[in-house]
Amino acid sequence: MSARNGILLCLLMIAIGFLPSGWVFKFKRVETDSDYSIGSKSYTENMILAELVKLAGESEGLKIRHQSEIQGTQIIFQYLLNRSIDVYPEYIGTIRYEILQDPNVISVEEIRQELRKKFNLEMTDPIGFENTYSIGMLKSRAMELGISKISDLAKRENLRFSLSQEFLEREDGWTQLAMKYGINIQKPKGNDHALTYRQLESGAADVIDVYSTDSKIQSLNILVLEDDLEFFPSYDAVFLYRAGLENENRQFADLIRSFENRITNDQMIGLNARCEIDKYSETKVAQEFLENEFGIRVEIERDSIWRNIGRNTIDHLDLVRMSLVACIFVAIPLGIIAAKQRALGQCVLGTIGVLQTVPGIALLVVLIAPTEWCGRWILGRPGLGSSIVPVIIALFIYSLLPIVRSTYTGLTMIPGSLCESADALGLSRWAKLWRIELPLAMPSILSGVKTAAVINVGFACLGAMIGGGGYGQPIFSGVRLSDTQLILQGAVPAAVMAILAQGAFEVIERVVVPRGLRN
Amino acid sequence: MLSLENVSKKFGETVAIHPLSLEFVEGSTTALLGPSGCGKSTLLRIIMGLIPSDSGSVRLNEISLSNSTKLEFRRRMGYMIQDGGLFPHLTIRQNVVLTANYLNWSPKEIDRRFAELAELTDLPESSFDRFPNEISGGQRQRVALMRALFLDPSVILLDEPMGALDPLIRSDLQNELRKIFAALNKTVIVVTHDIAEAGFLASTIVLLKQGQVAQIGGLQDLNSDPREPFVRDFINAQRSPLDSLEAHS
Repeated sequence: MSARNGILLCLLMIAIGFLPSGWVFKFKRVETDSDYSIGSKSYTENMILAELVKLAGESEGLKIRHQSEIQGTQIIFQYLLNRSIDVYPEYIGTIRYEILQDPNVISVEEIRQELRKKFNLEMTDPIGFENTYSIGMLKSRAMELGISKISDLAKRENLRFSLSQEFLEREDGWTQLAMKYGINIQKPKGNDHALTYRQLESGAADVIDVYSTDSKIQSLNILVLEDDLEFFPSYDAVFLYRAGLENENRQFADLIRSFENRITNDQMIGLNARCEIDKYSETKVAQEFLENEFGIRVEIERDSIWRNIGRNTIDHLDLVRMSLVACIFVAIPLGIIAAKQRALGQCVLGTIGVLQTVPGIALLVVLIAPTEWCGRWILGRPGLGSSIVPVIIALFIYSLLPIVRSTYTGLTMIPGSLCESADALGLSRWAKLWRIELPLAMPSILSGVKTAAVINVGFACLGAMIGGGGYGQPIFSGVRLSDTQLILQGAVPAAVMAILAQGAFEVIERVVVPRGLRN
Repeated sequence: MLSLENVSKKFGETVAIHPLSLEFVEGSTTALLGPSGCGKSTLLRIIMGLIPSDSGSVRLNEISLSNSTKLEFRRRMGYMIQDGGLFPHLTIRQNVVLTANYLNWSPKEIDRRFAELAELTDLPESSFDRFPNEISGGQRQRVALMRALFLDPSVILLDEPMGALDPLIRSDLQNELRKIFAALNKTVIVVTHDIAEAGFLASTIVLLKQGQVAQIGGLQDLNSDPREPFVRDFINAQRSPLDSLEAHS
């Protein structure tokens, strides 16, 4: 390949990797044109509350973005602190134990003062309903075993527990509960909250943790065990928002506070049931509620399945192409260095191999803080940590190994006689690399890139865990709502994209790899 | 003129070449002959600057081989190895013109030189755009020779150029090489372990034994006036087909 063709190829790759998708497709990321951003964790109730604020805001002419499916309190709270979201629904118990980590702060006013002092955040009065953690069993099973109180659990052996990850890890979660009630079993493994219900329903688990407003308590006929030792603290729902909002937009802050004391426990269970049992979208449920209870009429943009799939495809493709192209530019030179400097090469390959073993969600979480730091202090762009950038970096890291290794292998497998011939012709080291070695290693390098692309399509689903969009979004929502159709809306296109990526690279291979190297 | 002075090489503790000095007369063909492991290929690689010698110097006319003159040195020499060393990702033509392209020769000049060499080596035009794995072994060697000759080097080095060919093609190519060498009037060094081939192609034979020169001379000298028993043994070891016939009678 001539140097000119090489430069053209690089430019083409940069274009494929980094041109904004808005230039090509009519969809664009919502984040670019909204006044405010509201976050929600990955469960229905949180999403409905967020949608309520979003729709109410939109009825007053604000442009609000809803960043949903964020996994866990720590991440969403960080998002609030670094201002990539302005408000999100939270529970007083969680604030006390997880955020302030001080069980002695009891009253709403005390908590509010602490949040102002420590984090410059505001908190509304309770919205009205309480969603405490509780322990539940199928009524039939509980009767059969004669269990009605949590303390009864300690008397029974061989009960199968399925507990949500968050409940297992919280300060006020499983460990303390087990200690207080003297339940003496090995600490169970954590599950997704939605999965625990499925396990309970199918009989794979006897005991799960529940939220007291879960719609499934009604639909699955679950007995919420009596908390006879009064272990679980109060979990009144509130909204947390940036203190700055009060000055920037009084109207929006008032609107958030307008939900104080407006939603009762029964109403919330009803709203959750509308979503989880009747399968209405959170947006639709929020719209109905606003209209019936607040007299606010909002038109909602109804997204068709195809429109959703289209949007997710663009988001997913963004994650895959940016990370893959960036990785190609870094990994191939790394592979070359590894092949040329064997000792250094072993270090490079070893390090990358270790990075590969870090679990996806852990890598994502670890990346958020440094990305935010770089964004804030180096690039002058706060909020970078909660954009898609950490997802892209994570995917980039996962793509390193296949590409570096295939480049390394491709170069080191070149027969010695060919290297000698290249030297004997009087080619410089660069000319030898560019004209002989890289073309000879090309089939191997391409297969590495192909592997990385296919892996990336799969891994990019993780992006939805921290609000990065893509096919993971419907998959996670689908799991949460036990909605197979929704899961398939993410899983099928993801599989198709992986197959297409594979096919595309086979075509590229046909074009790029000369006839003399095939077979 | 190409000359070696006190060149030696060790691989670890094993001595591959004892200090030796050689001169190669311009326009003559010399064969480096000897059994496997005698150091003949190593010597060729030292001359090309592919491996550094431990001591001594290699000079081509006024230039002495060093790290800084290495590339220049190689471009003044043509090198051809056993299986041709053709690059499988390049067509025959691309293989041959590779270095000229890299050195920015004009396309016209490249075309002219290519046509000239194709005629010299008798390479059919139909093979120009094929890949190395699509032509025969004998043709691959012709292509390798074209590539070695392309920059019009003053020295041509061949390392077992016919080692992988069957007898008929081998004999054809030997005839042609002899013709070409005579026509080009270049300094040629051929490494081989085949004494008949050495005698056929070269006017001078350097017989090597364990990294040392056993004898230098024409085939006739080696045959009629062997300096040590090894020389006679080496020459007698080569059976002629007629000897084999006698063994059965």
